[in-house]
Amino acid sequence: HKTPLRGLDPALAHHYTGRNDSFTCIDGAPTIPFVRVNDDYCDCPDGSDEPGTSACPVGRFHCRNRGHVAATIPAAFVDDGICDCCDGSDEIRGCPNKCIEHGKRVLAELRGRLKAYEVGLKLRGDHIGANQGRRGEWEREAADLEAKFVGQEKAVEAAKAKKAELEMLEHERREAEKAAADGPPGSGGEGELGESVVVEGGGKGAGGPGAGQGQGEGESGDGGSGEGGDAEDGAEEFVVGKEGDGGAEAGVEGEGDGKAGGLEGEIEEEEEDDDEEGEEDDGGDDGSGSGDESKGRNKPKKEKTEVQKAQEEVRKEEREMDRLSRELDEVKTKLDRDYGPENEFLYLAGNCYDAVENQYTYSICPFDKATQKEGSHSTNLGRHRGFEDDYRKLVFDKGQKCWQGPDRKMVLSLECGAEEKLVDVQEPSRCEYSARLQTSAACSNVELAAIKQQVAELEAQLEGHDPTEL
Amino acid sequence: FKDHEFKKCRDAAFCKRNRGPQDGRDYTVLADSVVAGKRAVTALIRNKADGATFKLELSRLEGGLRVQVTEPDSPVDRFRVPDVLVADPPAWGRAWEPRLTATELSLAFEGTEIRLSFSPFRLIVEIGGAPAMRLNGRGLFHVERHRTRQDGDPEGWWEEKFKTHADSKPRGPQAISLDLEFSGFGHVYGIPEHATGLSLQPTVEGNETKEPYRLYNLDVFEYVHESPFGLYGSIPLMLAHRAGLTVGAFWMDASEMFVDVERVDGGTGTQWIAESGVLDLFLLLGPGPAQVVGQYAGLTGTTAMPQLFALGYHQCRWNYNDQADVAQVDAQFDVHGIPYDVLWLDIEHTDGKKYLTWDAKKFPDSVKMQENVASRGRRMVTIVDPHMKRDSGYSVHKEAERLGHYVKNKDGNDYDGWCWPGSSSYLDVLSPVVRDWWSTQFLVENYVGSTEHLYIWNDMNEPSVFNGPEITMHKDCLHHGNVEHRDVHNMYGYLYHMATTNGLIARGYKTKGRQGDRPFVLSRAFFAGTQRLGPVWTGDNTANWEQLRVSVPMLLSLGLTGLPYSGADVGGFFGNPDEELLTRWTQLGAFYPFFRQHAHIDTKRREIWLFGPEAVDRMRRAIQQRYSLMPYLYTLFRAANASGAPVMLPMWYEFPNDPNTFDLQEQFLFGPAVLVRPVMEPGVQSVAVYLPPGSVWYDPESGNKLQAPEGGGSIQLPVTMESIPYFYRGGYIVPKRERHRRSTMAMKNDPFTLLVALDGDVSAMGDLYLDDGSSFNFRDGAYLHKVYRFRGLELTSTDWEEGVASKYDTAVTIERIVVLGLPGDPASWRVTDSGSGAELAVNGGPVRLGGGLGGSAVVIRKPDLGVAKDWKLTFSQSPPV
Repeated sequence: HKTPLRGLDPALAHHYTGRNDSFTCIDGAPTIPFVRVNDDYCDCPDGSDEPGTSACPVGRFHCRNRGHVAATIPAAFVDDGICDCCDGSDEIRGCPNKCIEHGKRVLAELRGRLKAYEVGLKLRGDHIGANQGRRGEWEREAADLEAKFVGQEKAVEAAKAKKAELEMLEHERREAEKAAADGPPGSGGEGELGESVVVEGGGKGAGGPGAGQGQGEGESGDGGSGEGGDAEDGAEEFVVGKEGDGGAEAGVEGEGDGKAGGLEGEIEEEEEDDDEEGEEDDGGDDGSGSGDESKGRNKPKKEKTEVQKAQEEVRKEEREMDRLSRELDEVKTKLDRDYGPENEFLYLAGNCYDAVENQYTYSICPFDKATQKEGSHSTNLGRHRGFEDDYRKLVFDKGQKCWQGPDRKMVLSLECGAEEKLVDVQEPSRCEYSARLQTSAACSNVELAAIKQQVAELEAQLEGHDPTEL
Repeated sequence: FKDHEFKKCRDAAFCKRNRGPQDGRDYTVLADSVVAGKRAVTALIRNKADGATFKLELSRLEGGLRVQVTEPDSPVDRFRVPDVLVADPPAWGRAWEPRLTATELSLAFEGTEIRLSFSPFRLIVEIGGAPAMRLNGRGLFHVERHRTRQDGDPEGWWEEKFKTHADSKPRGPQAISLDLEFSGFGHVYGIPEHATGLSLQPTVEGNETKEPYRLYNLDVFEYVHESPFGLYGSIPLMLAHRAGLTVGAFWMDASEMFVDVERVDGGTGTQWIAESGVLDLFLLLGPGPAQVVGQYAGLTGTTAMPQLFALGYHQCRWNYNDQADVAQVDAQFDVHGIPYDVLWLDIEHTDGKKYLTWDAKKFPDSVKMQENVASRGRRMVTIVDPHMKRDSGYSVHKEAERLGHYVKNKDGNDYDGWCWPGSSSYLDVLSPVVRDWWSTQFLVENYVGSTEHLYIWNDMNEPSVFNGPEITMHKDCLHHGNVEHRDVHNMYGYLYHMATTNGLIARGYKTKGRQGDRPFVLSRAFFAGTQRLGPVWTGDNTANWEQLRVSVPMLLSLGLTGLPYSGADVGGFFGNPDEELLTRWTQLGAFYPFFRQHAHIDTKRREIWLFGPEAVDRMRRAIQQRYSLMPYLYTLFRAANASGAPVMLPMWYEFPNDPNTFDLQEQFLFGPAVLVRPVMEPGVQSVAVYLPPGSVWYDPESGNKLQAPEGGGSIQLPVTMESIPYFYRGGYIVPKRERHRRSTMAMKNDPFTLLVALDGDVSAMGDLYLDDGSSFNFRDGAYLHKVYRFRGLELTSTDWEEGVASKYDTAVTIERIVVLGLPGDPASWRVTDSGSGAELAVNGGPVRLGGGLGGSAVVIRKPDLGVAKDWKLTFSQSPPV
């Protein structure tokens, strides 16, 4: 019985029978005398005549690695003075056999991973169930908001109708007054009326009908019914018009934001601490009322007319409608988002995971944002962008811009783990961050099966061997 | 690039007042003062106009003439550059025959005649009966003599300002203007470092003047690719070449210098203006480029023999973040099968930019890290810069301060400048005592956390001072011996590099014993003599095609001026190269004498594997091809070490009689045997390569012959992204090692391949130098140097130096001999080993191992000839054609 050829993969042994004392390169040509196999000279372009030497540029060397798993290394690593195979077979000058040692260590590692996978997969199943429930909640929430929004639309209409009616009454009253004051109809009090018109048109963009009456249909009609009338212009004119007070001004601005494209537009421009911004935004809406009061206090109190009160009512109802619209958008965004093929990553939403690296604390909130904190200073490393690499990576981008550099970006690798843990945060290039998140959501049955097989193979290797054989 | 940060000639008082016409015709040699000896002449020169007297000395040196003009009556010694000449005075040449008349002195020797005309003072060098060089021929010679300050002295004599900086100039004007004409020469080269073309373009054309070339070592942020301004290093050596003659001129002066180039009367006129020092000019008489380079090497030394690892691929970045990052990058090279030898750490590895310390958080166990990298035969490099953090907790600084080792400001206190660490002082390396002290810092026991596997990189040694004039040191700072910084500026970085290099040499003897360990210290600043220390690189270039292109003439210029071990940052330091640019740059860099990828901290990661499998394949192939040529490259370095020969050669160096080559910089030779025509533009389908008349070349893949067009001419080569257009030169034998390995160390026991590229006469020659690759034992003869000759259908291996037996024995063999250019069917050739009489296996094969089936080359399979042995193979053809 011949000794096996050095470095030969047993799976390829049938090519090396030595029949007719010749060898045909595995790719088909040329055919050479068998003595030229492993003679330390490369004859086959595919490297197959030299499984056990470094002679061929594309050769592969097979390490049997008893006690550990077999491996294949490039011919470049054969007899180069560096031990690559754990059994040391790649170095003719000899390397210690470390396969048992390695095998045991790797087995322990694999068993640990196996355990994590098993726990992780169970958790993953639980989470998928819970995720369904959470989606259901969001759906209900959406339906609820939708209904409220429809209701609110009606409330707005009602408020507008009421205001229009009051304005009509007011108009008639003034006409009557003018007539009584014997001026020619429609020629007096232009300025006053003008102010009123501007307030209507600019402030709301919805008060057309009432305002149009006195000044001429065309002009006021344009101002009034213009598509979403520019809120900023409105605010200016409002001030000029001296009709409102601080509170109303704030209110107009708030609406302006809303009309300018909603929260999304705001986010695009924000660089950091968007959450806080968002809160301020909400606070702004609420605050307009208090602003109203506080500023009001500083001015000589002026009795509000019925029309003005109705107008405020319209604004209030519209704000509420906008708020509902935003909430509905938010829920819909959440519902439309990709949480993985089985929604398995959904339960990470709303959570944040922290890791400390040097002087920094990193916080990653999946589907939201990544942040780096140093003391009270906080840097936005990116907002949720989406998955990459077949759900193995979660990307956050368009973070705070680097000085003379790119926008910050975080690439989060998702790995199977029994519990959620953020590890290994790095900045390999300036302002490009990477980290790993261990999460049960990333566990897969396919990988579990592969690990099980590796464990079984390694156990067989380690248990089946006779130490003296090594 | 901030052009306004740097002076122009008009901003430097000494240049402004000396540029252009001078009173050169007022200088007269006093005939009765002439003392003419066999190898030396002395005389006095007097300026008729102001009566100033100078001493002239002419010395006959090996291959050249030394011209010195000093000021004998000056109460203050002018600074004379120390530590540059390998022997001072240099070796004498053969005697000349002086002939003295009333109007001139003639000195004749070996086809050369030197004529010293007395009135006006003029020195004319004639070679082969025709004028070659003329000193003061145009009357631009001038020496500013020592003087005392007087009221009404012109502005700029006793102080000057640039931007917010004042230069106190307490020693007054002391500039020298040198007028040197290269008669009949249409091309001049050298005087690095400038990011500009190989053949120096005129700076004066008629009445139109541009900026002169400036020699002033500066840290230039984002330098541009076509400019005469001074960069990081200076070598005041110019070469002039025409068909049949090459000469050179080296002015050994370390102060700021400006050089004008002007075409005059079919030749080239030059005016050199130095701010201080003495005129100590070496005229190198050729007659060929190799002789001029050798004559210069005879004065300033040859290239230090590098360790083999230093010629491999270097991976650098500002910065690899921590130990885990280092381990990861190191491992990825093996994962992707890319050979590399050295991993580098930039300034962020230190504790707060205190050099010779470690950031303990990022590098808690730097020894283990280095040992891990070294376990696969690789090395590491850390950066050590000359600015020392003024931090009372920094022991190296405290000691330097206590010992008074720092450069002083004009008031005599330690100079305090701003650099990476903030407030910093600078070692006064002009003092040998300071240099010795600095050297000891590199002993493993002193450099805590270092190992014998760690080598050094000196950056910022111009020196760079962020808040100094032109980002460097004030000229009125004071060095050892009351020398002004102005006098030594251009050699500061060289002296610092010297001290560091000596530190590694000392460490090597301590860790390795008598055999020692060759140092490796990369420097950014350089001066004449730097070649004896270690490599340089072209500093902070940028990721664009212009900078890729300009790297070629920049490195060629360094090679011509005695400093061949050089490279440019592959990929460009600033900015982000796209895949195409990085691929092309790696393909070019594989032919740089020093081959390193490097990147600024604000750039994206650019390790090769980040560009995808296709790009990895291309760049791996480029790097593997360099490694396969490593025996040839190492042999080229041995030649550089022995004779000063460049490694990267301009075409005219090898084809000195073909005027078409004089201005070629799109192609170059990698040693005499390999022609490289890098692809240096994006998206091109073909490139033009010029082939000189009568030359024969072979494609390294197909073995196909490229014959130069009649009378020489360009041919168009189609290229793909895989293409690395290079060719073997007919008439040369190239030793190779073709097995793919992960590092140079891993190749140590690999057999060789001999690539024989035959010329039109069916002959070729080449050599192989081999030693242990790391120690100084080669100096004691522990090396192998074989010469291979193919002539009369016989291929022989004999010793390079007859009668010198090698003390380096090795069992390594030659596994393949590939012959290109034999006529007929390759399989028709028979080869016999004349020693054993055995017939060797011969077939038609690919040029490159693994290049596929069949092929045009005659391949001798496994002749198993000992590389250390003499042998002879006989070729015959049957049936004969």
